[in-house]
Amino acid sequence: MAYFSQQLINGLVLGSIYGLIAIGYTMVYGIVGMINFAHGDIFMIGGFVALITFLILVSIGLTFVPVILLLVLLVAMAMTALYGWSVERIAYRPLRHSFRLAPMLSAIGMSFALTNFAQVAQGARVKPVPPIVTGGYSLFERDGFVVQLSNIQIIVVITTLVLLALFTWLVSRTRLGRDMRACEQDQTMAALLGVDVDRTISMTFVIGAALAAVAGMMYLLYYGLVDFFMGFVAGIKAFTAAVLGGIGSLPGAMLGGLSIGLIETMWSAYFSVEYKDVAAFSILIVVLIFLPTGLLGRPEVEKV
Amino acid sequence: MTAPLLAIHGLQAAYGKIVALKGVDIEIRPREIVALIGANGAGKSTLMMSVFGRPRARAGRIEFDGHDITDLSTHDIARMRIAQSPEGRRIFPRMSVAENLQMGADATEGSEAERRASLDRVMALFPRLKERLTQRGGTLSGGEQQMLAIGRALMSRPRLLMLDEPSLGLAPLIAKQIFEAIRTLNKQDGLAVLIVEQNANHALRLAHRGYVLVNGLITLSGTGTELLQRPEVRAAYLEGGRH
Repeated sequence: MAYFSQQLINGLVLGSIYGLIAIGYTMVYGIVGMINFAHGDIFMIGGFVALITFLILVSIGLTFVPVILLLVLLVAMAMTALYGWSVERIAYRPLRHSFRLAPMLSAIGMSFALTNFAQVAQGARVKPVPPIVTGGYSLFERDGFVVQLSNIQIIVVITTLVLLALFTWLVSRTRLGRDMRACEQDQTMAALLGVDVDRTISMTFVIGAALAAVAGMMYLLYYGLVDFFMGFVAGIKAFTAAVLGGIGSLPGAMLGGLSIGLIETMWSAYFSVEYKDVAAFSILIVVLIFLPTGLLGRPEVEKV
Repeated sequence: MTAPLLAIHGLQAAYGKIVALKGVDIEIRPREIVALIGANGAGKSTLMMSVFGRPRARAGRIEFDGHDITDLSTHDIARMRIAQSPEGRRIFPRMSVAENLQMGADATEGSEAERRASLDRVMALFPRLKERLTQRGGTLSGGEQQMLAIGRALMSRPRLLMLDEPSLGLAPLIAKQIFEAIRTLNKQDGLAVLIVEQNANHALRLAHRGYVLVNGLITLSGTGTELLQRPEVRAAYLEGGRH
């Protein structure tokens, strides 16, 4: 029971990170109907920006950790959002009225471009950071096994919850959120009602990238390292999470993220670490066979 | 004669290789109801949509209130307070009725008081929508969706209202109410209206003037009563003319 509780905590933390990335996939799919394959690399960029900002802040002599974390968070979100905006502007917008696969091919290209850019600019080695947030709590002990909840785990989960609350409010209550949903449902009609569709799509990429940046920063804090290739696997996992939850559904993305995180952690804990990815993808396949639209997806209705 | 509110000169528009409009000239003056009648596929809906640049004019010019809007983006045209209840209604299916109406209000800058006044007007016009405010657009019946589409257009406090087949799918009594409402809005607020109707009889009775569109060209124009008396109009669109 103690061991299980520990894995539950670990799984939820990992799932939060996947969920934050998955939201970006599902939002972009909802509004422009494409899979943004470069989104995993946007997450990686977020991790690097967080690392660089952290090093700069420390080198100018800042030592108060909460202030450092807050500044790193804001800078990472802003810089990565700029990347997300640029990627859409350069690689997707010119192809919007092209054939359906064109922007997706362009996205794969953009993914390679970002990976290689990071490799050239930052080097191929893994970049470690010393633990920034340390300490934690021992929750309870049974059969000699102590269940630990570290401070960084608390930060990851709380940050995710706060962001999700903000994001839900934005989508459901604000003008921008309403415009985003309108564009998702009928772009022509949205334009007829004065919505600037291009701007709304840009904002979707900006928000998705900002959330991925937070995930990148959390990854950096949690695992203590970043590298240029980390966007690939994390991106595919988060994409899987989005599909599992039902692509296009925002709560689905978070649910999918948590599910993938838990499956992966539990499988590693009870079966084998080597096959954790196989387990995650197998469950995806099984779910899609029985629920083709994912856990919370809605059936694709042919427009008339 | 007053300057036209909307003036379309020599408009040509096409979907790919299919030419839908072959040089159309029409005018709508302030405080005027204009009916556009024609058979299916004549280009009526295309004409309405091309005012918003969808599809873009291949040739010709569109002016609204003296401004050339031919090349403006769709959302900028909408923000000039031209509203449309389009073909197929195009309700946002996964938004509540209230949000659909708010989308209409968002189209133009306005104070909270103006928004309230527009909402009250729409609720008075379509009391049915009032009972459905929290319901999703996609769950409404066809007739209710039609009311919502018109209500949404009115929420933007338009200077020109374009209605594409507003009576489609409505019970005759409700269709009559809608025509009555259009007449009231026109009389009281001086709202200019362009109305496309299969039901030419209704539309021409309501309208001050009308145009007949055949295969992408205007073949006839005149006052509503004039057109109603033309034998070719009667033959094609009134006497058993519902193809």
